[in-house]
Amino acid sequence: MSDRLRTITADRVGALAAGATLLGSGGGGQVALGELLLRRALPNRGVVVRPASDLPPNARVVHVGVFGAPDVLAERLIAPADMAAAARAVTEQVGGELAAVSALEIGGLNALAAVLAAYELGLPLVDGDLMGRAFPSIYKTTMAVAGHPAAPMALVGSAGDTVVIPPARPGWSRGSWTTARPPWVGWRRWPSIPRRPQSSRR
Amino acid sequence: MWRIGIDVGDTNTDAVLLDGDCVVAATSATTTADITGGIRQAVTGLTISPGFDRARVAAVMIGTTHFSKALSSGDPLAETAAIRFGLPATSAFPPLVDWPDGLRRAIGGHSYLCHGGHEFDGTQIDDFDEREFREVVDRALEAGAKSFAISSVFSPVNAEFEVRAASILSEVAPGTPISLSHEIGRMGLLGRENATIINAALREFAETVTTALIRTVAEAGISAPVFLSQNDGTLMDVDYARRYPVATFASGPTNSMRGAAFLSRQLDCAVIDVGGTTSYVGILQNGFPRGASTDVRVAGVQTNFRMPDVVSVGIGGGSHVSGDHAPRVGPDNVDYHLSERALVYGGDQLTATDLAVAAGLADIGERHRVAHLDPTFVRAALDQVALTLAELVDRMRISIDPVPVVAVGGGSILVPDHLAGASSVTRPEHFAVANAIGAAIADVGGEVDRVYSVSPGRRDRVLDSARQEAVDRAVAAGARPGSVRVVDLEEVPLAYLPGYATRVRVKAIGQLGLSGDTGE
Repeated sequence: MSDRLRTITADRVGALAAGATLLGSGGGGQVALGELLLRRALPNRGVVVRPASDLPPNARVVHVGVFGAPDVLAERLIAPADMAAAARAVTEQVGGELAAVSALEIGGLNALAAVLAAYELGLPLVDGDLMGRAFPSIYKTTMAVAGHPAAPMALVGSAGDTVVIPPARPGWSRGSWTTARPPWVGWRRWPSIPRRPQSSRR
Repeated sequence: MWRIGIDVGDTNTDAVLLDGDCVVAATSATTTADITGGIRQAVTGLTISPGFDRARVAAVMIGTTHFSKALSSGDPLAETAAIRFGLPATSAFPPLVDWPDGLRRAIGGHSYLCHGGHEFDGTQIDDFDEREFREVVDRALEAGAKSFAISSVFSPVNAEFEVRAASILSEVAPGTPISLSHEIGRMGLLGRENATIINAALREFAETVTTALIRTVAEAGISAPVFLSQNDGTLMDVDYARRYPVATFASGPTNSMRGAAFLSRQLDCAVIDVGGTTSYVGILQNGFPRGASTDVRVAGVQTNFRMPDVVSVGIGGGSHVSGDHAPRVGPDNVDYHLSERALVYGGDQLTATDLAVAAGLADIGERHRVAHLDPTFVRAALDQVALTLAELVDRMRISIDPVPVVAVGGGSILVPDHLAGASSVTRPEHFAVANAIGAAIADVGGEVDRVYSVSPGRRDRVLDSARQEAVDRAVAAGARPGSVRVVDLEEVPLAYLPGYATRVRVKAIGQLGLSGDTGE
């Protein structure tokens, strides 16, 4: 596997953005926002990419994404610091150390959001995502289909305001989504939402 | 009623005189660096045509690429302070974040963030911090800023922060040009803000240029008002252009497509415009250019103007032709030296124009100078041009049905009478000055682009009020009230949001109301 991408560097950003746009198939938000931030950040240091099988069985991995209406994101923009804060809030819920970050959604802006979060946290990025494309709701993931809960989950608004949803019972993926809705709607902010950590071998 | 339309292109300045729907005269001059020389010469060409009567001219419409060229060169730009209200949001993308280094340096690189701005529903992100803003203004002035660009998150929904900032600024630094983002761009913070900064950086230059334009027209003995073409093909008066120079940026393609529709009487077709260095293809829908759905970069800066959707290729009348058996046309070209460098004009460079003359498509210059060209080679080169243009039309076509094609521009002799994918190819009379004609026939527009709350049972009322506002804006911009109609309405519900938030865009246009105009 010598041709496998081991580090995402600045010269890979164009290809990553093009791939995310293609997998977004017209949805998934403004890829250009994430592309711009990555082009500025990655010349400093790249983001290491690791296959899930490289991680120890109980490694903590948080799936990161930004959610909200694309037209709103185009005005309110995104902040890697918020995504990192949300990832830390989720880790606090379960204890232990965060080993890596992964993508919630590979289609559209969220593919790049995961790379930004990994960069911000100085952690490796797990090669994979939970959707394989862009879907309109966070419970539409392979993990939810398999009956795994979405929580613990954390939502961070741009003023640093944070809402944490503690671990739920298995199969309660959709419930966590509907629980998450009222706070961010009430803030009228567009939070970054890392979902629960998962062990790498699940 | 007579109208004069002037197109100031990179190489040629064309002028036309229209009497109602009839082209009375057309002239062409060489564009000069200060643009007024070319305009003066072109207008003089009209005034000496038989029967010309200065007093009958009701309006002069000018389309120019002068401001976008000024931005690309960077020279005449003013030091500009870009101040945004958005904190604690948006700090990962400070103003000027995506600007090319050279351009950022040219305007001084003064970028500031303040607290405030709004959410999509008009509530505040944070309070207006007057002390913070005054400190930023002091720092900007000290750093040498001569012009101010103010933006605020969701200012198309609520412009309060920008308006309040402007009033403080005019008190602290009276007379300093101020550009506000809600008056310039649409939703989408970075694109709107960038357009505002470009506008601010061009304000001093616009002052000089508009003054020169008014003087040039007056010196030609014409006392009619002067208008400039905007990106969407509508007109603004010269005083508006003084304050919003950025609104002229994409008027070129729009004018030539509107001119093509006027000349060919085709409302739905593809337009191929072949100039001296570049060809582009756009689509007319109901007489108006189809708009681009993606953001458009100008001089490397992302903006969100509504620009016409065009594709281009580096082929024009002045393109170099190279190769022996496999000919290559463009993208190198003789620039504005066609009349010296082309073979038919006694030069030493084989150009696309020479091919057209050799093939008998055009009769310009001295034909015997291209008599030595191998007819097979000429044919192959012209076929290659035709193939490239047909591919451009194909890329723009959104139906399997062949489209009618209208060819305009000085180089459109290169477009063959039969083109793959085209149901017909028309080269209307006056094709070389379609641009100037597009400027002359332009209308006045009004636009609304905002997020509305469309609660159940209220949709009609909301849309009516948006329509009315667009119509009112067109009238305020100078349209004759009875002539205004809504030409475009788009409503997009915003995903995931409560309160039935819907983005509504309406565009209305009407005929320019002119003195001595009795209407129809």
